Amino acid sequence: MSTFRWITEHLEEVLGASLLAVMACLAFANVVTRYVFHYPLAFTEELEVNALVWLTMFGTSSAFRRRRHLSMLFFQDKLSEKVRLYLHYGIALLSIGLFVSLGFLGYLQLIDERFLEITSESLDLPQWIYTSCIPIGCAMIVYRIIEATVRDMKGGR
Amino acid sequence: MGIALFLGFFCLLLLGVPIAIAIAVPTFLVIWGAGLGTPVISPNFFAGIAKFPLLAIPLFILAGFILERCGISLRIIRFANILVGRRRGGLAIVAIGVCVFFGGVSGSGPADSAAIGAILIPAMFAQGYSRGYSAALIAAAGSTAIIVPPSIALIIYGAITNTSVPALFAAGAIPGFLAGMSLLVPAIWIARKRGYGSQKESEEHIGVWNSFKEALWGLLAPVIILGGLYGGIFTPTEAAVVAVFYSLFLGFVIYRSLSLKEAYQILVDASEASAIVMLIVAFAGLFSWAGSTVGVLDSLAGLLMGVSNSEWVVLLLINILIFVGGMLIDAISIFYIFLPIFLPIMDYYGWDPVWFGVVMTLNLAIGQFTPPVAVNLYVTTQLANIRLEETFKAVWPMVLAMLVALVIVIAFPVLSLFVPEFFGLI
Repeated sequence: MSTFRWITEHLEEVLGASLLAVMACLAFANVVTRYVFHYPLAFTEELEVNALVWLTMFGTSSAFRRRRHLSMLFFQDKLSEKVRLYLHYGIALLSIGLFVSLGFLGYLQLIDERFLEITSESLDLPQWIYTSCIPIGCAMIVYRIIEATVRDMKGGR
Repeated sequence: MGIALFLGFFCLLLLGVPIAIAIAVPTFLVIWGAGLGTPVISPNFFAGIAKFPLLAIPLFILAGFILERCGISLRIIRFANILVGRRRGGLAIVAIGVCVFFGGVSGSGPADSAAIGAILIPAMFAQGYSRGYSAALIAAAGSTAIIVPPSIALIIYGAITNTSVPALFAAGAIPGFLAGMSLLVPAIWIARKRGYGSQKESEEHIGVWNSFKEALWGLLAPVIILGGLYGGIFTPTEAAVVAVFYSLFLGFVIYRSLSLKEAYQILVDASEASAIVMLIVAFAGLFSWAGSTVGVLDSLAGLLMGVSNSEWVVLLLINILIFVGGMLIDAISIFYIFLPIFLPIMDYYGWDPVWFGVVMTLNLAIGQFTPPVAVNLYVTTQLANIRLEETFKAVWPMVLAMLVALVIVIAFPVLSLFVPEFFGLI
């Protein structure tokens, strides 16, 4: 497989893993500066907390690709193969509808924040940079749900 | 409208819709239908995740994953096995001890069960334990991870109720230990009755001292995490990140068991596992906001208190509710959905929030391995390659034993409150 294809298939994994690594390093740097130099890096808090939202979007997307989301399959397992397949399509549709609306609402929030020129609390960055993870993340998630469902349609029967 | 919120959630849940989606869909519809204003959804979603105390969650998950894969669990199991493994039912004692101990570095029941079960279930099977018994035992013992500190469930409880997380972590120590010990009774009893556990020498002759030296670095991990927290040196987030770097140090320098490629895979898995939790946190937060805004939560609380004038009956009712809920869904969703209902009741009777958090969490731990749904059993039966039904005979005595432990923790609040008071955390 070419490198390019590998990256498009694993994009959010690479991004999520790097982000988590950066968050851990920032948090550790904070501990070191607080105890060794008695100088806490307060600004890192804002970055870490907002990175957590990005991390959630990336991870959710890759969890949809790998079907890792928690669900209660006890009753579903009792259904016939065919009914279960239709149920899967239904769930995929429901999830797509959900993330399309969330992404759209996030986009509206972003527009508002740009219009009102809202800036973040401690770093004074434009807030919409952080908010943009909602529409971008939702777009990724929707793409992965469609991809996984198409895979089911081809291989499921 | 409020009832639609709960009904919609349970219907979707039973159909096998992922929990986060099953929570979010009725929430969105109710916010839209009741005219609460859809523009609140996106900022609320964002703010539900972007909270400083929640930062500890991905870091604890990451630390748990590194510790699990750098070979520590293997060394601790070997050490425990040399100490007590060679008698009848010995491996069962090892399993309980190691699960409770590993709960001291990981904060999630299914993760604990998976980490220990992957190594111990084949070993138990080789010594003649039945697959059903092994899967039941590891699922039950692994459930203690959410009550033994550090615990993701207790971090969430602290964030919702504004209770100190270090105090909750200290309060979980004795009840968590007690819950683990309660399992010894049915575990040994069944093992004796069925004649499990051969008494032949174990094949590894590395001796108690050597195995202790090998396991020592791993044994120190919870000491650092919990010692730093109880001593007030670290905040939970700091303790979590120190645990991350300590376990990296073990994996790369001491045991040299990790490669960069594995480290990358651990990061991928940990970021995904955190996202699954955080997505539930964000949507469940919206759910309880919508529920309290349309007023359904207050009426449910009123309903509960209206059943009886007796504090104990209400407490019993709450525990039955949590127990049944815990059988169906994860601890985090339960906290977001039920806590807003319980908080006014807790206030009314003057219950200690730290004690109540421990009671709820211990109760939820039991639900994690109570059939027929049971997330932990789901994990261990997959590892043992059996159907869920095959564990039923062995698992009921264990459920019963831990329920006894729960009753003791409810009856004697001092068991939960002694440690945090000792360290001056409450």
